[in-house]
Amino acid sequence: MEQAVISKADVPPFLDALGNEYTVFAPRKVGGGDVVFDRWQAGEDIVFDFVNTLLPPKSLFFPTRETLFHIDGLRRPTLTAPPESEPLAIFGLRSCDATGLGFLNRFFGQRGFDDKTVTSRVRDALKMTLACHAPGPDCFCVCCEGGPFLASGFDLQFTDLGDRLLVDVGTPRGAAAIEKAPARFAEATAGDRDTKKRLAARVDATFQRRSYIAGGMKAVSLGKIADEVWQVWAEDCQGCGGCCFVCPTCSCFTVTDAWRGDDAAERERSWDACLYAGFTREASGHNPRVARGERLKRRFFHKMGCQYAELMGRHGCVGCGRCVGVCMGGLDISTLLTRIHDECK
Amino acid sequence: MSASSLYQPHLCQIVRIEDETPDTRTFFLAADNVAWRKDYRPGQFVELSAFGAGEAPFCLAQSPTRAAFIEVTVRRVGWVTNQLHAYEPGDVVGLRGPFGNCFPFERAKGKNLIFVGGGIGLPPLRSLINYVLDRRGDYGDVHVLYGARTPADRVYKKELAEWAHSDQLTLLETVDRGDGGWTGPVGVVTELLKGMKVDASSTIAFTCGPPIMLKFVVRELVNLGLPNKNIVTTLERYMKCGIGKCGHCCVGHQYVCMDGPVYNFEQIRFLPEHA
Repeated sequence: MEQAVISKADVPPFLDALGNEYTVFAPRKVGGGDVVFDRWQAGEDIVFDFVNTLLPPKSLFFPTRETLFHIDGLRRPTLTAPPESEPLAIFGLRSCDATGLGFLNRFFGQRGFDDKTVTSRVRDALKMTLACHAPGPDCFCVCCEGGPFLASGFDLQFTDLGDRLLVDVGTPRGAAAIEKAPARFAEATAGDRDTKKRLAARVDATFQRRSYIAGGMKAVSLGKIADEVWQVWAEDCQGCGGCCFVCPTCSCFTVTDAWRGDDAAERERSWDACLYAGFTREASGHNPRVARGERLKRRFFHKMGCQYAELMGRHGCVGCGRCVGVCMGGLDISTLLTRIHDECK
Repeated sequence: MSASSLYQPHLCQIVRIEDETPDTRTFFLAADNVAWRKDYRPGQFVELSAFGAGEAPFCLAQSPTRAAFIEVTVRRVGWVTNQLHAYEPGDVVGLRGPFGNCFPFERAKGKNLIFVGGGIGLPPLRSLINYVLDRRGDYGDVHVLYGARTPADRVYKKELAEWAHSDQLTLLETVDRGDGGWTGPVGVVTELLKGMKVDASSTIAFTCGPPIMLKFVVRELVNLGLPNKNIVTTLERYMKCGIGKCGHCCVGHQYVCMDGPVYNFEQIRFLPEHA
């Protein structure tokens, strides 16, 4: 079955059926109207009417802070790894965020060092995406090959057809998931498939296409923006790191030892941000990237430089638009790439 | 193998500690259980853990041809190095590695070699100097130029004394400020380069030291006629993982931990910022 349909009412029992193999996460409405990923509780209603979750699901796979190992006895240590986490099933991923997970998986797995603390979680997860019906005000996935519909990068892709959902099966893992509750699914009819196709075309046309991405990438890659210009722009950067933390693909981290009593510790990995002044500061106090402008330039080179795109098979923005919402200085990817593009005209 | 095994270090006991200078010590780590102790390449580095303080990158300071121990020379500067300096023989540190590329010791075969070190910049060069001494027939003339702030700040004093009397290499030393016992030259290390007669086309220079020293050394080597690609250094950056994941050491699109830390100046010219 490459394409199936499921009624909306059958989705909760389907997620229940996944519960014995996976820890299931789904979108949940919280105070203020935000939607976040949370543990799915049996019997809960499914949230379908949302643009995107407040945060990408990155922290489920690459936690903001996690223990790499326990250290007992600091000078005569015994090291113990934490227990492995259960595989996740995640329902309601947006296309951009699924693309971001694929990016993280490739990054953490590449160049001979497969960092399984992240990659095994992504690979073992059941990724169930929900294709987008309408762009949010900050969305630009169409410019970044991040959506609104996906051709790959999901196990199951759900498309809302009103009372029911069309399901694209992307992987054997997705097919196996359907087999957990086969009675809930039916073969998609030619009519269903046609409805989805027309919907996808209509949705695609509602997204605004922005022409600055390619031009911005070129300017960033070739170093066309003078350091003085970066410095002026960076005066609006608060150095809060918010753009990095809400980004589905940002992955920089630091590692520290946290004391647990007098003679024990935990080695912890936690998110870090290249916009922090201390990000490159060495023990001697020497800091090769001391100016704010250099740090902003660094961020954009890393996200949008062709040199990195070549390493990663794509640039580092999936167009989710979260940095647009979080940056109080107008230094998000979309706005600043427009300025870069205009600067080089 | 647990998922976090890339980050979980190998445990190594400190066998011996030698004072080099008032703030620098060499740690000799038991290597019996270190599978790669004879297989690393000069110029590579390790991540060393002082548990409870953290982990930091250090160059391997000895040649793999002399790997009875894993040798790491550490200046006391920050959290990790302060704790390391509080350690005694018998204490246990964590070791991950070896990481990074290496000095181009194959390309250097048959060439004359000049090593220019400043202060704590000698340890990474020493891994190659001793390697060359153990493969002496493969290389031409070897000059080692070493500058320190004061005579007390010279690392590997015993080895320097041996090199001074060796017919295998020529050692030239200088200090910024002498003391009562110092009879050698006083001045910056670049002064030692100025008098040298160099066959520029068949010479490779390896240099490591503080950024300001590097700037002047490179200028002098270029004056001597060395092409940029025959001037080799090793970069130092803040690093957390050593395996191209944490993002701290990136310069341009280079991960210094994976693509470096050894670069020649033809490559460094194209980096957007200098270390």
